[in-house]
Parts: sequence; structure tokens; C-alpha cells
Amino acid sequence: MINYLPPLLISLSDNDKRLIFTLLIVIIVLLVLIAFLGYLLVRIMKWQSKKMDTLIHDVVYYRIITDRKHLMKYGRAKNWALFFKQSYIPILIIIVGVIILIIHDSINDYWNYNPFSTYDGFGTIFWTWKFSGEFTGDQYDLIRFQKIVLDNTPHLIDIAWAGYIIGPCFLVGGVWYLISISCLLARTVLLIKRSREIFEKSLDGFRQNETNQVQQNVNENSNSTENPTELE
Amino acid sequence: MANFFKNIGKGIGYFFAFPGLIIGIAIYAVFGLLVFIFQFFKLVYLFFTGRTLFSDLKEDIELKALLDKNNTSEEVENVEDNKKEENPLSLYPSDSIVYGAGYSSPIFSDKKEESSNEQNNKPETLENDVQEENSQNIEEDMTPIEREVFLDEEDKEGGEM
Repeated sequence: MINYLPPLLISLSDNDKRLIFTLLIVIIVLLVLIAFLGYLLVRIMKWQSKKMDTLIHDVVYYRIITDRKHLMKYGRAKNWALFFKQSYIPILIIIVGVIILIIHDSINDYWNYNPFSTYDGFGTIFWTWKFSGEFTGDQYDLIRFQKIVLDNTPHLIDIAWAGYIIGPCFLVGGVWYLISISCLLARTVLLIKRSREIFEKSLDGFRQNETNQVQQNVNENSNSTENPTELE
Repeated sequence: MANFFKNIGKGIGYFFAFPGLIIGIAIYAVFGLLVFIFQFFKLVYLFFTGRTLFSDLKEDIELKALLDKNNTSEEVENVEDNKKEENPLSLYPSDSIVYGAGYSSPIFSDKKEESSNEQNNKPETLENDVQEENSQNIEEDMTPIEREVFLDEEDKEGGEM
């Protein structure tokens, strides 16, 4: 009877326990890392969104801009100019990487070169593991893992010279560009929010029949405009 | 302890929100690249018209003009206020003409000292006058013999001087 219910009554071997424990640690580390990255990104975006306030403050404060569309147009122009200023360096770095890649490929006449390859690219200086090994355990095992095989240990190689330049260029430029993109996004979101808030007209708590004073003022103004000599 | 669980909750929230955020940013990155290309061509166009991408917009020029106008009107008001304040304070108008508003000449201070000295001397002269008057009264009250003796003594003192 017991043999017919292998998935429920399976006993874990020491090897499986070790594997589960390792996986748990990896998952926790990944969680912490992703949470930290997310937190960092959100902090950067909050910090950058404040810049939009600085950009549009004076023209709104001194009432040069008095409507929503005008503010959006002005804010967008300022935002894009600032984005260009922030992102031209990472884009230049990426362009340098691309130029080196084209030069390398044209010299070797090999247009399928992967600059991140673990054989002749940037990957040669990292530890890499292969996740496509053999299966462990027999057919009744609940947990089946692929055997993880160490694929590469860090080493320098002559033919990977281009990868050592192109890889960092792409990585640094890419991360930098993504940060400036997130800043652009944050500023755009704040611009939309501000353009709604600043020119908002609220009728919360307003009762037309209760505000006699306002009506009186309106009537007085209309009378004064109709008969301006009365004031004199 | 509550903060610890709050941080764990935040971490889990970021963990689930992070992939969405990355996808959003990746989509926006393509849009950003288009914006960059557009800005680049705009920069080239502005370069040939003698401007830059970061030069002032129409609104900024209006704002600067407004602020300049306010500053100049404030300066004029300040100068007028200074002129108004100058007259009641300056005892010697020539000083303010030579040294400018709010500044006093060294002569001004000397004059002040002189005037203070004069004020100090003034009570002394009064005292002398009082003494003279007293001496005249004394002479009137004296008998003829006493008056002769008094005058002789005064003559002696004047001769010694």
C-alpha cells in the first residue's frame, strides 16, 4: 500500500535536504537583492521627481504660466532637455562599445560574435554554472533537480580583448541609461500630477445658497460696471 | 519588532513590484531613445540658429524680464527712502552732498565734539557770572572800611598775577 503513494510518504535523503537548504538560501538572497534594488530605484525616482518642482516652480509661482496645457508643454521641454543632458554620456559609452564591436567583427570577419561569451568574451572573467546537466534521483523522487555543473572559472584570454572593453561599456552604459530613464519617468509622473493639482478648482464644501456674501459681491461688481458714475 | 515585519513586508512588495517596474522602464527606455534622437536633431538645428538646447525658453525670458522690472522698481524705492531719511538726520547738509547719503565727514564729528565742548564750557561761564554777581552783592553789603580792605586785597592779587 505504501509503495503506491510515493509522493506523499517520501523520505528525503541527506543530499536532498542539503539541496533544499541551499535553494532556500539562494531564494532569500535573491529576495533581499531584488527588494534592495527596488528600494534603491524608488528612492532615486523620488529624488529625481523633486527636480521637476525646481524646473517649473518659478514660472508657476510668478504666474507666467496659468493653464494646464501650457504647463505640460513647458515642463515637457524642460524635462526632455534635462534627460538629454543626463543620458548623453551613457549613450556615448554604448556607442563606443558598438563601434568597437563593429571594428572587431570586421577585422575577424565574424559577425556573430557574442561579447558576453564565456569562451571568448567578457564572461571568461566570471564563474559560470551550467544548469542543463543530468537529472538526479529515480522516478519516484518528489524533487528532481538538474545537476548544476561549473562551466567556467575566471581566466584571461587574448582573443577576448574586445569582450573586456565592450562588456563593461554595455553594462555601465545600460545601467546608467536605465537610471536616467527611470528619472525621466519619475519627473513625467510628477509633472502630470502637478499640472492637475496646481490649476485644480475644488467645490468641496461649497453651497451656493449659503454663500450670500459671494453673491452680494458679484451683484455689487455688476452694478458698479453698469453704472460707473455712481462710484464717482 | 513591528518595524522589522514592516521592512519584510516592504521587501516582499518591492519583490513583486520590481519586475513590473523593470518592464515599465524597459518600455519607456525605447520611448526615451526616440526622445533622445529627437532632442539630438533639435540640438543640431538650434546650434545653427545660435542657440542651445538649454537656453532660456520664452517663459523664462518673460520671467527674467518681470524679475528685473521688480528689482529695478525696488532699487528706485530704496534710493527714494534713503533720500527721505537723509534730510532729518543730517545736521550739516553739505556733508551729505560731499560724502553721500548716510555718511558723515570727519568735520562733522569734530564739529560735534566742539559743540559738546562748548556745552561743557557753558556751565563754567555761568558759574563765573554767578561768582561775579555774588562778589558785587558782597561789595554792596560791606561797610566803607571793609570795602577799602577788600579792594586792596584784590589789587594785590591782580599785581601778583
